[in-house]
Amino acid sequence: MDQTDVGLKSVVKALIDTVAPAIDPSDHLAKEQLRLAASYVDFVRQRLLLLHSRERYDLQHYRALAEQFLGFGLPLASEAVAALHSALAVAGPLASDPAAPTGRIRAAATDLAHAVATVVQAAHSQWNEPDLARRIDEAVLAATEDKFEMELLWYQPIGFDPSPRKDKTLDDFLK
Amino acid sequence: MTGRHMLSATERFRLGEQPTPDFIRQMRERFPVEPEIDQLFVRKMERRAGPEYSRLSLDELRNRIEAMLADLGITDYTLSDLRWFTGGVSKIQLGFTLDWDDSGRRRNERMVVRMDPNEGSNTTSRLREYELLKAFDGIVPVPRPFWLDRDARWFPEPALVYEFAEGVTKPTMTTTGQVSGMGTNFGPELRAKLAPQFMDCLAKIHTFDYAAHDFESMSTPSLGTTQNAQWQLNRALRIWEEDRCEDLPLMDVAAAWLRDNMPALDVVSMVHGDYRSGNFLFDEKAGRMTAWLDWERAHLGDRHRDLAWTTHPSFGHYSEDGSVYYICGLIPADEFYDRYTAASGLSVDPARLEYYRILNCFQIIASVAATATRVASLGKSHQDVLLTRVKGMESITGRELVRLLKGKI
Repeated sequence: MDQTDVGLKSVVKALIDTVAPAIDPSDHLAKEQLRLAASYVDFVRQRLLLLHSRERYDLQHYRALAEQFLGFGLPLASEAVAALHSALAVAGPLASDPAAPTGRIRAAATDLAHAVATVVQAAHSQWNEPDLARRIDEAVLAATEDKFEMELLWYQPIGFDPSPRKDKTLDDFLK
Repeated sequence: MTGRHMLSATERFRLGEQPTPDFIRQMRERFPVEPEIDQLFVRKMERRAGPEYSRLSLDELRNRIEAMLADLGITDYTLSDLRWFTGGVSKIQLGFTLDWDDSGRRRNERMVVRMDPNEGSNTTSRLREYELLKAFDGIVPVPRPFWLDRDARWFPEPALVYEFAEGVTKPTMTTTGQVSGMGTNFGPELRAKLAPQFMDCLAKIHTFDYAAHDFESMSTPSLGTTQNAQWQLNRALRIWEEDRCEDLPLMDVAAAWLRDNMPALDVVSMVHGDYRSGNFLFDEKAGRMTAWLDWERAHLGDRHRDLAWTTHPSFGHYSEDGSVYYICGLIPADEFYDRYTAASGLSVDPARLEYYRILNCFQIIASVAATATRVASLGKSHQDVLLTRVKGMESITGRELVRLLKGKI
C-alpha cells in the first residue's frame, strides 16, 4: 500500500523540528518561507487521497455545463460549438470509466473548460443572440457557485475562508 | 481564441509560457493600456521564457548597492545591517543602514531596496512608485525615496531605494474580544485615533493636484469618456489572457458584463490602487500614521476604484458584539461614504462603485489564479511558495463575483 501521506508528514516534522532551528534568526524571509513550505506540504498530505476525486469533480462540472449549453440550441455552424462537441466526446467515456487515469481526466477537463469558455466568448462576440447569451451566463453563474463551494472546502486547511461552512463536507461534493 | 484559428487548451496556454512575438503583438492590439504599463507587460512577456529566479546572497546585494553608490559619486560611507524583509509578496525587499557624506553633510539612514523578482505577481512600475513617493512627500505620510534604478542598471531588476519608515501595520498587543472577518482589529482606542487620519489621507490623495506635476509614468484619461474604465479593464483582461494556465468561464461572463457597462469618468483623481489597512504603518503609542506604502498600482482615474477596494469585505470586520461592521477595521460602514464626501468634497456614485467592485474581483482572480500560478510554475519569484497558496483566494473572491453579477445579467 502506498504510504506517501506518512512520507509527507515526516517531511513536515523534519522541516519544523530540525531545519527551522538551524535557520539564521535574522533571515526573516527564510523563516517565513519555511513555515509556508511546511504548511503547504501538510495541506497536500490532507488532500492526497482526494486528488483523483477532485479531478473527476472538475470533469463532471464542465460536462454538465457543456451539456446544459447544448440544450439551449447553440448555432450549429459555429467553430466553438464544434469544439465543444469534440471535447465532450473525449470527456464522456473518461467520466464513465472507473479505471481512467488521473492525468487523462485532468487533461480532458482542461480541454472541456477551454471549449466551454470559448462558447461563452462566442455568445457575446459572434452570435448576436442576447437571450442565448443571457441563458449561458446564468448557467455559468449557477454552476460556478457550486464549484466554488467545493473549492472553499478544498482550501480550508490553508485558512483563507473566515467563516467556513459546517453543513457540508468535501465528501458531499466529491462523492 | 487568438483571432486566427481556434487553439486547443494546450496550444493556447503554451503561448503564456513561451510567448511568440505574434502573441505579444496581439495582446497589445487587443488590450491597449497606458504606455508605461504596456512597456512593462511587453517586457514581462519577452522575458517569460527566461531563467528562474535564484536567490541573491546578501554579499551580492551589498556589491550592487556599492556599485550604485559609486555611480552616484558617494565614496565616503559605511554600509551595514543588511537584512531581508518579509511581507513583500510581489517585490523583494532588503533593508540596510547607510552612514554617508551627502555633499558635506553627514547622514545616517536606514533604507529599503524594493526590487522586482524575475517576474512578480504584479507587473508594476518602479518609476511610478518613485514619482508618487516624491509627489506625496509632505502631503500624506510616505517614505522619502532616495534613488531609482528604472532599467536595472545597478540591481538585477528594476528597483527603488527609499527611506525605512518606522511603525507597525497592526497592533502588537492582543486586542480583547473576538471579531469576525479577516481585517485588522485595531481595538477601540487606536481605531478612534487612526480613522480620521485614514479618511483624511484618502481625501488628500483623491483631491491631489495632479496637473501641477509632470508625471512621466502616468497618462491622464479623458473626462466624460470611458477611456479610464477601458484602460483599467484592459489591464486586467491582458493579465488574464497573458498569464492564465486554465480557463474559468465565469471570467468570460464577467468580462462581457464589464465591457458592456463601462462608466464615464466624472472626475480625474489620483487613485492609490491598494488603499487599505495593512498598507499603512503607524506609531502604536501615539496612534499616528507614519507611512502609506505600496503605491505600485496607483494611477490617474476613477476614485470609485479605490472606494470599492477599500470597502472590500476581506479588509474589515464586525465589532465584538456583531452590531457594527468596520471598513478596514476603522470606519463604521454606515458612516464611511458620508465621511469620505465630507473630507474630500467628492460624491459617491453607487453605480460606479458597483462597476469597480466587479472589476476589482476580476483583477483579484486574474492575479491569484492566473499570474500567481504562472509565475510559480515557472519558478520566477522569491515568493513562489506563497503564490501557490493564494490560489485558495480564487474561490472566496469568485463567490463574491458571482453574487455581484447575479441579477445584472
